[in-house]
Amino acid sequence: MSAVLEVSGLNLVLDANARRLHVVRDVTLDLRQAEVLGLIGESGSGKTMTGLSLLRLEPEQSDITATTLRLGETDLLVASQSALRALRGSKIAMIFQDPVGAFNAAKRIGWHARQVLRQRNITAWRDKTHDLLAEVDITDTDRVLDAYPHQLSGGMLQRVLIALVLAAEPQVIIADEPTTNLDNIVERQILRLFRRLKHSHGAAFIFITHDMTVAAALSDRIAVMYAGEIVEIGPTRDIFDVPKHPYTIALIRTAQALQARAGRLPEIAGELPSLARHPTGCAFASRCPHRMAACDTTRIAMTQTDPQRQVRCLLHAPA
Amino acid sequence: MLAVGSLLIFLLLHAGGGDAALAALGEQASPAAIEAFRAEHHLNDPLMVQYWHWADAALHGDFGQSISLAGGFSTAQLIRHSLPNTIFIGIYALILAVAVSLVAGSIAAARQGRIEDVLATCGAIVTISMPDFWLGYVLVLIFSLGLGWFPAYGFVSPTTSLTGAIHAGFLPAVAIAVPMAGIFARMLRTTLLETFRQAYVVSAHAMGFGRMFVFWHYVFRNALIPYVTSIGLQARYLLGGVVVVERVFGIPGIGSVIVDGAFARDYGVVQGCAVVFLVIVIAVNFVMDLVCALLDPRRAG
Amino acid sequence: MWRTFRSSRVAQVGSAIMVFTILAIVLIRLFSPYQPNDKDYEAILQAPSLQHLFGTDSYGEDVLTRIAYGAEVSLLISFSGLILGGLIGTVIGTICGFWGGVVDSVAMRFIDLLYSFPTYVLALCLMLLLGYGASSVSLAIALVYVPNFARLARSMTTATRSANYIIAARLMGQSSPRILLREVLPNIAAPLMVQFSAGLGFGIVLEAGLSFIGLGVQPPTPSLGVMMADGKDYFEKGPWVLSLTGLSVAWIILGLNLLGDGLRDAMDPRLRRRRS
Repeated sequence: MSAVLEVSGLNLVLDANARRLHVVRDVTLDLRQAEVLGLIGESGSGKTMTGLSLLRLEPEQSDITATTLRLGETDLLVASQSALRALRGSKIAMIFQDPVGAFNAAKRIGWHARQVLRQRNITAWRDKTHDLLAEVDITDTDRVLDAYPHQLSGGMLQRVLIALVLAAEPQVIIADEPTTNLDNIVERQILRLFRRLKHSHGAAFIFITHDMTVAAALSDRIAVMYAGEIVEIGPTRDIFDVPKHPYTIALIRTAQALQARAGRLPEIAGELPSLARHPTGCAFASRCPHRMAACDTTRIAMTQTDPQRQVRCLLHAPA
Repeated sequence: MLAVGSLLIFLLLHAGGGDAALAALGEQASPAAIEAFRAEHHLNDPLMVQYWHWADAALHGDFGQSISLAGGFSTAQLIRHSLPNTIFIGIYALILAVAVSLVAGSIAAARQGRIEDVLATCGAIVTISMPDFWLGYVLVLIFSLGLGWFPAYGFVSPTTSLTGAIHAGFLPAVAIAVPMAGIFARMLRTTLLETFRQAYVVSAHAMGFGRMFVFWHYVFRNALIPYVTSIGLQARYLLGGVVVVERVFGIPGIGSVIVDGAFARDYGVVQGCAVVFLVIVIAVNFVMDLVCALLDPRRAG
Repeated sequence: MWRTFRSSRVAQVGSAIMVFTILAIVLIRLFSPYQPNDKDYEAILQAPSLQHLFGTDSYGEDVLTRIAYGAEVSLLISFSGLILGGLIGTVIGTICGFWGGVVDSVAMRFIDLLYSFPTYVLALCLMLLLGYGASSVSLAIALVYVPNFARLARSMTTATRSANYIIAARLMGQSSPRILLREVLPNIAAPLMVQFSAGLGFGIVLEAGLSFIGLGVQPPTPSLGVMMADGKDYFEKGPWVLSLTGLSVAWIILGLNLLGDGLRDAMDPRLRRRRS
């Protein structure tokens, strides 16, 4: 299976008030057709910025560089604004965390639908919208189309958003924490929806989340991010059975404890390092229980531990 | 709100002492005449009763006799003659200010940080800092005395000649409009910049909408709301400027009337005009609220 | 507060203008060969020249000197008015914000009413009440600005009232007035300062306008407004009096506005630098 999305050496540096923040460091991943890649990390790990970069929607004051940033045949780094605009929504799309914030509060849902479909040169938008909304389990189409965004619930809005995104049958869908703002029941509904769509539409997903269990439920492969770097990547089952990077281990332990409703939640002591520095060693070193002297000084590259697995850690590096 | 306001004005003016009767009839008047005047105008009644008389009459459009101005016209008549002129200039100025600020603010926001933005922002700050009546004189200096394009004073009522009114009213309208435009333009720029950063703008881009489309439907549309609100908030300052500018250009508007009334210590006139001003400000804010409700479905619903 | 000042170039320019102006006023007063009321009937209405840098008015008085004295008067009037209005407004606003309830509703209705008045109209009424003169103008300015400060103080106070450190202070048993003074006030001080500098500018305009119409400061006391009123009478023959005086007004207000804007932009939390 060829890769629909190829990324290697992606770097994003933000210019924030005379400070340069290196929010995405040397990210390499690829996405194959009809697979779900779970991108896990805590807030501030750079996962949202990575997602935005893939759409070339990085903030104005920033520098984006990459060895490769390719969507199918198109090189996203050199593509013109109009070319990018043509791609967005139709080949690669994004579902945002806050469904309410994704809509124009002053316009009805029907307006949004019409705009999206008109973009794809689809006439007879009402019927098409009907079908789309039905796919996301919305039956009361007319009411929804006539409503304003603030009149609908978060779960409903998220489903509408997903429907609109699906309208153009994109190859790649980046979902940035689509269920974080929703309550558990709705969350489960949406996840079930995602699983169904994965099969019916054949699109590839990058599912960004901080929730291990959600990622586990949905993804074929998982990439773990910390402080802007990918520290481990591999098939979901393998990562959960045999986590290798100390950070991944800690995350899984916490998730398991939550699941088992354990008394005390294991903590990861310390905090995220400043993204303004360029650490020469491992970004996680200060919080790692297995820290060695070399961890602070060596620039650690990814080690291929298995055919499908890579880990960025000296513990697994070849001697 | 209006009731309390007018009561406040009434108390304020009457608390100042200054005998209206004396002022009207002059020092030489005989005690009998003064008494008669007092009786006729209920001046001996307790203050609340006086207020009641006045308010009652006012609601019927009768603001009482102007005691000393212009041949005993009733205050209501004075107001009726002068108010439209003021409103004409006011709306003229408002249109100019809004038009300029919409353009300037949008350009400045769209080209943030670049030369157009810097120029526009500097221009705005400078124009805000000018006292409008001074600007009026400078304009007269340049455009009337210097170039002779516009008349220095004198006012043509729009009922007599619309083009004449627009021509004669240009300088005073500009004088009032310039500081307004500065404030509005900056406000628009700020709200536009904030809207740019909103999540739905990024979302719209992610859906592949074009830049102009996003700007117009998403950014501009939503930024208008705080913009319109701020117009309402500025009303109290701008209406004040009208008062002085009318003096500069000799416009027979309600501003001139209230000033003349104040000079002549004609409480009735001042009172009546003050109330009218208050009504205007409240009305303007009301209209702005209405516009906001129209623009923002969240508030209407 | 000092740090915010230093981080904003705009505020620095603004204060540079103000410092320059104040210095100019002081220097002119010390070194000018003329007194503001020195009438020289030989040299009436002279255009700006080397002898009279800003020209002379219809009495032969040196315009530049008069501007220096007049600016001082105008600034003092505006300043005192703002301080008074600011104090009263802040107190009212803070109390309203802190206690809420009936006191809040009633007082704010009043404040809103005051705010709805066009500024000059309010000032006019007050002048009628108190009589003309510098102190009345000052009081008028105070009255005009009470609602501004009250609203600001109130909204800031309500915002901080539920802040954690306030709750902590209450839990520690501190009395309300103490909390107000030591916790609330220092935190709302900054925006109030911004309002103050902007108000100072408008106060000068208000004074100028009132005196211009003749309802403010009365001659022979020189104030910028009085000079402009004077200048308007013979504007066609000697436009420099009015124009240059007005220019001075604009200059001062520009300085104040820049100062206020600079401070306000520097304090905007959205623009604050991210730590680490």
